Amino acid sequence: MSKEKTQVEDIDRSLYDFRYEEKDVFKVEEGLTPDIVRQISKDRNDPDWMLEFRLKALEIYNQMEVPEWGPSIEGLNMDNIVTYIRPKAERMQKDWNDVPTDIKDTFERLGIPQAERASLAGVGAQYDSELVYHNVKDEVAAQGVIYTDVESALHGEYADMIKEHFMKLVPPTDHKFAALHGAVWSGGSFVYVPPGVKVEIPLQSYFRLNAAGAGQFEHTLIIVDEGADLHFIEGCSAPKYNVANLHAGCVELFVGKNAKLRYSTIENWSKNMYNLNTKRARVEEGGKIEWVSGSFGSHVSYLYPMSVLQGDNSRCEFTGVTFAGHGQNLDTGTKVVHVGKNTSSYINTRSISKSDGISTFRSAVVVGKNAKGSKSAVSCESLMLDDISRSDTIPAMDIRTDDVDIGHEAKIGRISDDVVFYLMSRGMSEEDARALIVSGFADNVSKELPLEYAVEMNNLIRLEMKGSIG
Amino acid sequence: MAEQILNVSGLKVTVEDKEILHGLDLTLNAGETHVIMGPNGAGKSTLGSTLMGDPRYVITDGKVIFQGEDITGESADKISKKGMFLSFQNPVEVPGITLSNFIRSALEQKTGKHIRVWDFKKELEQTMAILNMDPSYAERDLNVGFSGGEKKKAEILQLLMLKPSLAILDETDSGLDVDAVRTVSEGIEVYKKTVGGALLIITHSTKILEALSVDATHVLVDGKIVHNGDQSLIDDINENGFERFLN
Amino acid sequence: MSEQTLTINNLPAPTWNWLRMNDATVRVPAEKLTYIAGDEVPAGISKAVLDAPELREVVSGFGPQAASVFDEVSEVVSYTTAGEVTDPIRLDYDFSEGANSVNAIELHAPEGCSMLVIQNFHSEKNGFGFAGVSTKYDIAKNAKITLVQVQTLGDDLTFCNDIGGRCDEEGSFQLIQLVLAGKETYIGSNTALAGKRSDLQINMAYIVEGNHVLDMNYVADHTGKKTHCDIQAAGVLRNEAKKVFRGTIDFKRGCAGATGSEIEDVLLMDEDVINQTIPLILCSEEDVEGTHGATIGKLNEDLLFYLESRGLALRDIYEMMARARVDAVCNLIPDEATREWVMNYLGKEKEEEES
Repeated sequence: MSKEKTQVEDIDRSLYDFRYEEKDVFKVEEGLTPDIVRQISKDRNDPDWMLEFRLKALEIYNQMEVPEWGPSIEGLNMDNIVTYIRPKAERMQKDWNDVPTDIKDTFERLGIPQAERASLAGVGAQYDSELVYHNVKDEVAAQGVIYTDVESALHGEYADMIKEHFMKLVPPTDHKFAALHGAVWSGGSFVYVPPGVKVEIPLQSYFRLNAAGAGQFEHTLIIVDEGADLHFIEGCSAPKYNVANLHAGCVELFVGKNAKLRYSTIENWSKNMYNLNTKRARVEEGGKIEWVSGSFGSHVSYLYPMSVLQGDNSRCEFTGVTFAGHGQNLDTGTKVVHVGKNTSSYINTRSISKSDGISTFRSAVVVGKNAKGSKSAVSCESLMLDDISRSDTIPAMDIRTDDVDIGHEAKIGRISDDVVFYLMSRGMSEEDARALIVSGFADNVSKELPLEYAVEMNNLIRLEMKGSIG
Repeated sequence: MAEQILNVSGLKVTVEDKEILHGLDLTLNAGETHVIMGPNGAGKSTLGSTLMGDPRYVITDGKVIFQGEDITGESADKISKKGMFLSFQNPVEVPGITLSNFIRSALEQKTGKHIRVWDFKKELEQTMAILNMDPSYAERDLNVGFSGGEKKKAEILQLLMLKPSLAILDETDSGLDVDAVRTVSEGIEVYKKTVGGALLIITHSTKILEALSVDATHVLVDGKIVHNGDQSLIDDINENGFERFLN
Repeated sequence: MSEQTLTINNLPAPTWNWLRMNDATVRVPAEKLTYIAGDEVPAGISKAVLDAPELREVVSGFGPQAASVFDEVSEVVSYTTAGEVTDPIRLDYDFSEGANSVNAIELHAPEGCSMLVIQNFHSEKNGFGFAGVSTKYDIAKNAKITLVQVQTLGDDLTFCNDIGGRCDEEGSFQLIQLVLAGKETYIGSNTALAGKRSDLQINMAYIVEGNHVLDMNYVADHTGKKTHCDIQAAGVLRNEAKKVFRGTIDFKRGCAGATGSEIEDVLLMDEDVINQTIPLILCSEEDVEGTHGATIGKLNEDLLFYLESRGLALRDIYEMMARARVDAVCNLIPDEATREWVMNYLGKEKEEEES
């Protein structure tokens, strides 16, 4: 059994846990000072307002307290984090052949260019602080869809649109790590889908953090205009180091009238990562946001995509799975604020805890005074795979009008011995039987993912489950 | 010529934006017994719920005239007060309200008069005895923890106590056990004898219909009445199924 | 002692501060008198007056600052059962005088013994002031305590009702609560299910009206194997009432075989009500089964249609179902006099409304 364990860890590493030497890079000193922020701003060629914005955010960061209700982030010392590190090579490329070899190899091993050819409308690839590759298929571009990095957008045709939306949904005052993001953000994507345009196949961004002791702070800004439709996929990974890495990205999604956006994430950061990410969507009348979220990696996660159902009849769906294995403390969930009339939210999550992992499902459903006729249904299930792990469910509901229909249900339990025995009686090993049951348990998410991502997710589950017996 | 109690014309009904009934016509005279039969998914349960005014079934076209009054789009409580009754397949459980109190409130609502507890209890006891119902059920919370058969009896008990002029029995569930079938059959007999109201029985199985004198039989397929006949049609369907009515 | 602002009813695992659900803040006045409840003690129960509480260490639902609410209590009244006593200990709390008062009692059920305790908290409708009652219990092997609390307090009265106790092997605690009136009510209840197969059953119903506030914190702390809890709360909010329900099932490591469920069903009758619900399951044991559920808002469509089809009008159905929530819990009270007392109270309320 112990042999199997080592083997499995090896497979795990070879898949995501490889790294390259840092060379030919521009990076700032460790820690966080106004000087460092100015350096980043200069290297990003920020417009003036952005430098001011960053410095103001830094002030806010210094004034705010670390959250005391979630997992400990004591192991994260900002003085040791390099907030900005970029390859010195030419900026963003449109052809993989122009991307530096190490970096290109990285993404090839992760299967990104292959996926792009096979099934994506466009791809962005971020390596540390820099978006190194960005491309969108011609026919999609011809529909008027803009998919570029935020920095280019800041200087181009869409500069005003960025200024109008940037950190308006998630202001730096939101919490300490939103302020940090505001101060040192770099990279990320800007997507604009014009009115009525339906993008048939997904766009994807992949974030890779290669450098030890570094932070990644990409900003994703997506505007789906009236009646438009988009599926955006985000993937993240990093090799494992013995020092803390930090991810404090920010995702702002604006879903227009009668528009629809699906935002799918498979997060597999390495287990030294502090993932303090903020995602938020605002949905106008008749629009819909769909979150599909798989959380597998990170040492500590704080992740609660939030939907603000601003317009009447706007909707949100949140489908999530969290798998907390050895050494992980994953605090995930979602927040929904019902503002408009007849808004509806549907939340369905599963969490799995194993090998001393801690998984917390945390949610808030807030129904405001004017949100008459609103509905919300929350369902969360947790699975405990052993008695050294932990699983908590903390769902809050705050309802301020009478004409609502709010339902909540939660369950916690273990894998039934009967089912394991049944599968074993049909010739399956116990390990395979348990892995199969856990994959089935997480099928709320895998069913929602495009096939290749569902396969990847089930592989992650199988890797986590291997060696779990004995 | 008997008085017309129910007249449904050109009824179109949608549920969650999907049309289930596509222009249904049906007429019943006072005191008559009609049977609606049809294959699964024909819209049988939809018809019962719609007639009773379930707000989830949206009437997009057509009319329902009950005892000479247009009740299209009327709320269930008003329709009930006018004298219609629908027995439910799966009556909901209502904790905190006893069967006895519930029937009394319903009767008071219907008549608009205070009902003397003593008289009411006597009638309730007698009716429960007819149905072979354990008297202790009167003080149990409505349908809470009742078995399938007990729920059925509680429905028939309400039918006999409320004395509607039209009773719609939704018995589309073909999985009725022998006891439940007997309860329903006996209940129908008592209802016919003591109340003398009209009956519309929506069913899939024909067991309930044995020993019952039926005035008309209608075949419901794909949201429409496709065939009308007399009692003999029941035996015909029993033997040959619905094949010949499907296209 | 001066007036204090205390933080009570702490959520065992806190969440976002902006929700303001992590705890409650209560203003506790200076200089409180010790209130001694009028009691009726049946045969088989012994009563003692203690200078200091025996069950001081037993955790209660109010949390760490509970002691500060009750530190002025000069006498603790303790009741101990010596058999299976079915006649109730009746404790009458009349807070009509408007004095600021605190009270503490202890309930002891030694091995194999049982007792029924009925606390009636009442005052005139215009009752005011502050009242605090601490109820601690200790349930030994195979013993059982049934605690019934009925609350009909005045429109200007702040009431702190703190309960805490522990159950040994096969011990069982049953709590039946009715909150029918009172301006600001804080209820905390913590049960340590320490013994194997110990059991907690809570049934509570509430009606909160006007601008009144009800703030609750129920905790089932499972450490013993095969322990069980069932927490059920049902209620009605009217006018500008505010209610916070915290309910926690805490499966601690080692409580193998434990099961727990909690459910809250809230009927919202007016558009200015505020309802906060946070049902937690904390779990560090594999072999457990826990569920929680909540339904908030309007009545279920199936139920509405069923009742309407029998001739009841919408408004009457709501009134009836509001009343049914209270009646269902009232019917669980194993004492006819108390049930009648509640029915009379509700009848009188209704008459006043109609006249």
